[in-house]
Amino acid sequence: MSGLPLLPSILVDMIGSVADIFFAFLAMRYAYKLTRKQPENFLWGYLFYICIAISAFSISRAAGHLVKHFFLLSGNFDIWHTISPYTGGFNTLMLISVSAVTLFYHKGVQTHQIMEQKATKLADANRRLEEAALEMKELNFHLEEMNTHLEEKVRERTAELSRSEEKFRHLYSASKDMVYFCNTEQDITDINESGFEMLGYQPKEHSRLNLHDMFNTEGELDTFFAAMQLDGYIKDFEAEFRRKDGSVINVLLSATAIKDEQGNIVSCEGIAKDLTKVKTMMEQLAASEKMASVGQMAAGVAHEINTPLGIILGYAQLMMDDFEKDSEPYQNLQVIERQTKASRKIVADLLKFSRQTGSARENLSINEVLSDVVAVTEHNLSLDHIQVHLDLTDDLPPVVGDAEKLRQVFVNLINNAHHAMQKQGSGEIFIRTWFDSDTRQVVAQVRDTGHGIPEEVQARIFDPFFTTKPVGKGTGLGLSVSYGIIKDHGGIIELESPVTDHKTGKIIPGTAFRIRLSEAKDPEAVLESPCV
Amino acid sequence: MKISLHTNRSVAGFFFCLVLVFLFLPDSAWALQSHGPPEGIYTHQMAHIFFFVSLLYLYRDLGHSSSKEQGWRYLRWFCLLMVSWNIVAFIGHAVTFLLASEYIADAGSFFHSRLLGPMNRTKFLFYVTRFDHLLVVPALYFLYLGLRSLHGQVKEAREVLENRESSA
Repeated sequence: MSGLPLLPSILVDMIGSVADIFFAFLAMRYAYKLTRKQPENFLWGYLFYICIAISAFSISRAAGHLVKHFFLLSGNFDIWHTISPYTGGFNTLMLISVSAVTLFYHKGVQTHQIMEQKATKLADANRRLEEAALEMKELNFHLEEMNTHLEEKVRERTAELSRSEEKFRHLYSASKDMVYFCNTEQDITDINESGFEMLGYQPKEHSRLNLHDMFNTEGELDTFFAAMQLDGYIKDFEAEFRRKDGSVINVLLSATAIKDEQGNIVSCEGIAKDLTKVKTMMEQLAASEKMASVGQMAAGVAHEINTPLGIILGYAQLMMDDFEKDSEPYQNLQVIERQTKASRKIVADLLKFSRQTGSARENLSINEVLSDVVAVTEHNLSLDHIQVHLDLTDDLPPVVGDAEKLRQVFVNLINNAHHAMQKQGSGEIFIRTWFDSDTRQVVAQVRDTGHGIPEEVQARIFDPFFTTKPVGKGTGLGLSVSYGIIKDHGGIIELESPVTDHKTGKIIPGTAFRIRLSEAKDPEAVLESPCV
Repeated sequence: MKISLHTNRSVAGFFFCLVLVFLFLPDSAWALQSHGPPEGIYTHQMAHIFFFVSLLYLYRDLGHSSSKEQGWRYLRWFCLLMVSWNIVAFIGHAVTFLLASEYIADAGSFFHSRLLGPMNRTKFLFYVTRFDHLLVVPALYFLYLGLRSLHGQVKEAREVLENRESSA
């Protein structure tokens, strides 16, 4: 029999059918696993469906072939012919199904890609949103941190500013010098309490103050303005300020102009130090030096004149013995003797002024000295209707001094007061003592109600031979000698005219001399000053 | 979008051709059409054509849209082998349909069946196409390899991700 055996093809068909089912199911298994691992991935789902369709197709085809082989082997050709249309039809159905599923791939992938793109965009948007949220969170954190730091810094700066403001406010208000601010109209916009006190104004009166009112002379004000315009400041400018009561004080002024961006002066600020006391002290020092030099000169002159005066007096007295008392030469010699004695007294006073005479130092009571002086002078004073008021503080500490010389000082002061009030026909002398606990000094004041001492001569009253009395009424040595004695005692003699009442603060006409002597450190000591 | 238009056009073209076949080869013009015996083999052959086209379509899409990883390459091999099998099966069905019924002799047993001579081109094709499993089995093997490879990649990627998360 020619032809080809079909056994190989039958065997291949049978084995292949089994292999088809095997591999189809293996593939389906992995496709299933993929869907389990990534359920969201469309591709795995699709491949899983393909594998299901392929497996179904494999089963239908392979099973059909195996059944066919089974029936044909067993000789049941009729049965096979009966069921073969069904297996063939089912096989065709599976084939179409697989084809349909396979064809669906493209559209599915396209949809999947679109969805993936959208999902990616959405994920990107979410990621950006998360990043933005994170950045916002960080920004917010930084802002909060900055805010916290800012609050702390503001608190610190405010505290620093407050401390600084307090410090400068204290410096401004507690300063003993005048600190002021003025505007372009020269009105004082702000001034500290010391400034008010210095100028004699009340704090509520500051709106009235103007630099024109403050400066005593227009020349100084012009100099001040010129310096401010030219240099923008003025330093250590000695000027005179006029107080509310019209009195003048000497100040040392430093001021600075405050300018705007265009360089125009918008205001100025200044500090003024009251130099009145310093100036007075300087004048007193100058006077003191002058007095010292005058005293030295007077001492030299007195020493040189004293000897010839003694000889003149001696010879005049010797000659008086040679003449009758009623004779003219005798009377002439008496005149010589009297004038010579007067000259010797002047010389003695000059020596006292220059401290060239000896003195005994002991602890003494100023009150006793004053009582003695008043007892001696009261009678003469009452003749001219001058009343003496003694206001002596008890328990005053003793002072070290020469009682005789101190008496002379107070007699001189009372005599001056007497002379000052002699013309007006009456008057009062107030003698007061007290203890200044601040300076540890005993103070004795002699005040009269006379016409006072003009300001222009006040600086000269302690000069030797300076007097306002008529010729022959005074030598001009009383206050000079008193000055010398007090200075020799280590004390101070002060003049005030007119006088400010210590109780009411009112200005009273008259003159007051104050003697300040230090309290005795050793109440029992008695000191001897050498006699020259 | 270009791919989408092209795809839609191809599908529409395929169905248009199918309609033309039905129009120009009518078996009966009656409204309620009866289905004769050859209709089954026609339907089956058309199913092979349909499967053939869809596999080519899938092969092209896998080349265009999928990555070049090993798993996808295996799937493309699956497509090519299945396309080949469709051709072989189509030819096999056609030649079986063309051959006369007395071409096989069973000689008393199915295993001893023989293709009767004399051999010609049709019989030869019939004989060769009966070994179609030599294409189907490798095709399904590549399908299995492809899915196993893809599964391995996904598993590996997931493990790397989990290790990274656990270390972080």
